[in-house]
Amino acid sequence: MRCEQFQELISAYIERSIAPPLVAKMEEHAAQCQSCRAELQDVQALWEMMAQAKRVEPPAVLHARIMQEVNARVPAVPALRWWELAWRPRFAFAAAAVLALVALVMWPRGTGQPGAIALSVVSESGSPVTPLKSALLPTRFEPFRSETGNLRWMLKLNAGPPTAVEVTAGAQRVWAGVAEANTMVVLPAVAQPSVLSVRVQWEGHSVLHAWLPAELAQEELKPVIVLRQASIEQTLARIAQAYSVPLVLVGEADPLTRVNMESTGVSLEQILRALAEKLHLEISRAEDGTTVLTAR
Amino acid sequence: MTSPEDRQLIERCRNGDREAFDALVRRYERQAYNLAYRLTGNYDDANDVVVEAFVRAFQGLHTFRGDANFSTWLHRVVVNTFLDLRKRSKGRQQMVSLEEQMELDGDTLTRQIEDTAPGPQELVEEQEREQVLQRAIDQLSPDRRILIVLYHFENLSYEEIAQMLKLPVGTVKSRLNRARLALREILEPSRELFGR
Repeated sequence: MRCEQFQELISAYIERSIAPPLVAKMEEHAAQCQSCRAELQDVQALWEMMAQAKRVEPPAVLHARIMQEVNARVPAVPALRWWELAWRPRFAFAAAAVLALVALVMWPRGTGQPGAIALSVVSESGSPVTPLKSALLPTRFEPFRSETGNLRWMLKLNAGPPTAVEVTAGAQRVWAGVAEANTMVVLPAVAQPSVLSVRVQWEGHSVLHAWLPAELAQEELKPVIVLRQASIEQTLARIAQAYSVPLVLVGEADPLTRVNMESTGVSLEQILRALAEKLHLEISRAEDGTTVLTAR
Repeated sequence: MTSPEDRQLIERCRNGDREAFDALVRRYERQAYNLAYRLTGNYDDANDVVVEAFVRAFQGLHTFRGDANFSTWLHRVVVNTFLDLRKRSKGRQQMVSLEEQMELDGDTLTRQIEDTAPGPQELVEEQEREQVLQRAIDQLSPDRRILIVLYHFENLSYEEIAQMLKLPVGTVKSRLNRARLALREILEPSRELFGR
């Protein structure tokens, strides 16, 4: 065996991953060649030394620095994006349930920003569009009950250039037109389709697709609440009215807090829990069943 | 394999949930920092690499396949970030590799490097030994350094490294062997380190 060959096999020898005849040849060579023997022993020792190397501890400020950088450089995207579930068949039904979504956004008076979250966009290929693209073209697609009690759908484009939109239910075209920023379209009544899809011509070439599982149509819809810049008292009053339940507020709620809320088809419990968390309220129940919210 | 808890956190991160990302960072920052430290050889650069790597990870989480190991995926992000930042800082920083060769009048000469390694009497302390080892790793070429760090410090298997670097397993093994021999050669002046 030559020294070059010995060197090539050093690691394999240490790991015992070579055949016994080769091991014998290597040992024979090592016995004769002082330089190769030293090299083998050194690499073995080096291997052990690296295995014993200590882990270093990150500085305490590292975590904060990471999150600060992430928050500074990555724009916020909508918190709830159920369309990512909608395009996966096994989540189709779950998506219908999640469509019953609630957006609770609060901000100090006068510094409002849209709190829309429901974005029903997946790409033509079935994969979700990137957050960047969807952020350019937020589309809300929500069910609501019309005055006559029928289920209707509302489509809203919150931003973006004038955009060609086509809504189909199976093979039937439900609506087609051009929607500009902040356009709200109330779709004509749809007769129980299996799937509703929204095609959006975007920048002349991108066609985005939205899927709406029809199971939702069979679900009993809970009340729709839309509030803008409402005080805490107003918010609770609206919830109490929509769900026909008594709600009592105890203690003094911050008079400057304003609530923006869009809730579609969520349970009273969900809505109260979300509200209590955001507004630092405690939920309890009085003896007569009245729900009591206490300002902390 | 990615744990169910991680999978859940990743899913939430993909929906823009920063609290979930905060939790994910807590789980992996130590590991990422160790990898970055071994690659860069100093704490300041390790910080920069880790911060940048996590920003990229957050932005690129949609490319992570759930069936893969998240830790391995993050390793790759850290390694790529290290290479990118190194490329960017070239010229600003003086990075000298013992393995680099320099051309002089058509002849190839090995660059002369001052031996800054501490003398044998100073090497008794474990901390110092670690420093010498790290300094030796720093002198490897980036490609070799990455292989050594991933295998010996991050305990990745040959297969995982091959997958990460998109190399055949055999190539990873032979390159690692050469990297170990190179590392041994760099450490030759400090043979006491080997405990013999």
